[in-house]
Amino acid sequence: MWGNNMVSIVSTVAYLGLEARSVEVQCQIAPGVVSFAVVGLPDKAVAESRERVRAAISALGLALPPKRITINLSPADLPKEGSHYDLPIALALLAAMGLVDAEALAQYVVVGELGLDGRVAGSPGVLLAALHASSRGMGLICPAVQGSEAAWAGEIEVIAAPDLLGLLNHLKGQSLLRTPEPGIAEARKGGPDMKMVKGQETAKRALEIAAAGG
Amino acid sequence: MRTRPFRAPHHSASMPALVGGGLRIRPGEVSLAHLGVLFLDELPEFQRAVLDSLRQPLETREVSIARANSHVTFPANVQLVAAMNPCRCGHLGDAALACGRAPRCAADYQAKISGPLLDRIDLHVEVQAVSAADLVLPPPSEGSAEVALRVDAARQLQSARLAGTGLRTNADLDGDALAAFASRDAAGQKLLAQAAEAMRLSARGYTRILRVARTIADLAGSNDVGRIHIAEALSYRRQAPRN
Repeated sequence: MWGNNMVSIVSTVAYLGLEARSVEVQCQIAPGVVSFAVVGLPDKAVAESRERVRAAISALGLALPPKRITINLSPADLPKEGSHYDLPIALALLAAMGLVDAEALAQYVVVGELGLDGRVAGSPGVLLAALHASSRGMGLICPAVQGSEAAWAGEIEVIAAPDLLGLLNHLKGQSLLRTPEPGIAEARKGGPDMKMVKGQETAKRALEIAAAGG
Repeated sequence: MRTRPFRAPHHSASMPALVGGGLRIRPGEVSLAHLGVLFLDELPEFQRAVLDSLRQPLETREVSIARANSHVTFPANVQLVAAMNPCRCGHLGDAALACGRAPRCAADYQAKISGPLLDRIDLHVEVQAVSAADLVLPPPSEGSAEVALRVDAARQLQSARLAGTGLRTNADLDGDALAAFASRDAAGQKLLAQAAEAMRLSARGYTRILRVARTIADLAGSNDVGRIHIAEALSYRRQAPRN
């Protein structure tokens, strides 16, 4: 169990174009004036994640400890944007509160947005995070709706979490979540058909050549 | 992403919207259409600078966005499809309907698109207005399904030919690979040489003709690129405006 001044750490990523960079979410719960601060160049969406995390944790029936809670997103000079920091922040906080085994979390990269009721919602870039996790030899915790996307990354353990409670139970080994399968390409749905075009044979021929060669 | 994207941005699109950018760098339409089709309707209505910003991505198939605080490269392998009217009133070529400013107006209107951009477009087709007589015709027997079969066969020929080279389609052929895989017969080579002279083809134009001819030969199931394939490819090349 963590002492008062220990820091819990959860790995996540920051997206820079098509590159994912490691970001560490550090959480410290220390005695002092009651507060909950997120530092480390968060943008608006990241700063607002405090409210979502607070609500999602209270949806578990838990209250934040009346202490000084500091979340740091390291490296602190890299601007963080996006809503996928909610879940890693929540897990870092729960680990600091001693509710999640921090050592089990150390093997995962975590991404996901939280709803006020604790559901884990999708956020763009899961495949990128999965590839990043795979290159670091880690697993991935991601939203359930994007599990099949993450599974494309190949040999990597993916935990697709439908909600915070389900994820906690899975991490404790109480009720395991199903491993997602890679999604399969769907057949093309009927769109406009070239039959609808009368005449214009040269244009259709050009389309055919373009489709065949490009 | 389950199907190939099709993006058709409105012609009021700004440069960051098309190629990517913004305060926090986001991919633009050209990257969102990666491995799919980017359709630009009313091409001359786009801002000139916006259109010309497409030159680099069309050539390198990726777009590098450099800003003071970050430098990001997005993939941008798109098939560009564009449509435009010949002139402002849209009736050029029909003396009864054309306005009094033809053909001068058409030259001005078409000059809104830069030569280097047009040079990167392989297939130029002039589409005549559909006449009322065409509309009463029965629908064509050939639909997308039949065309898709031919396209599929041609693409399989290409993958078989390019297996092990790391290239995917004829559009990827360049330099040595193009010389190796687009073998012309003597008549074809002669026609190409003549055309290059007469049409004053740029080096880029020359390779692009060869790629298109290779594809036409593939559609015909032909191993060699013949004279007829090169002739058809040449017919899609944009002619320099005649005065």
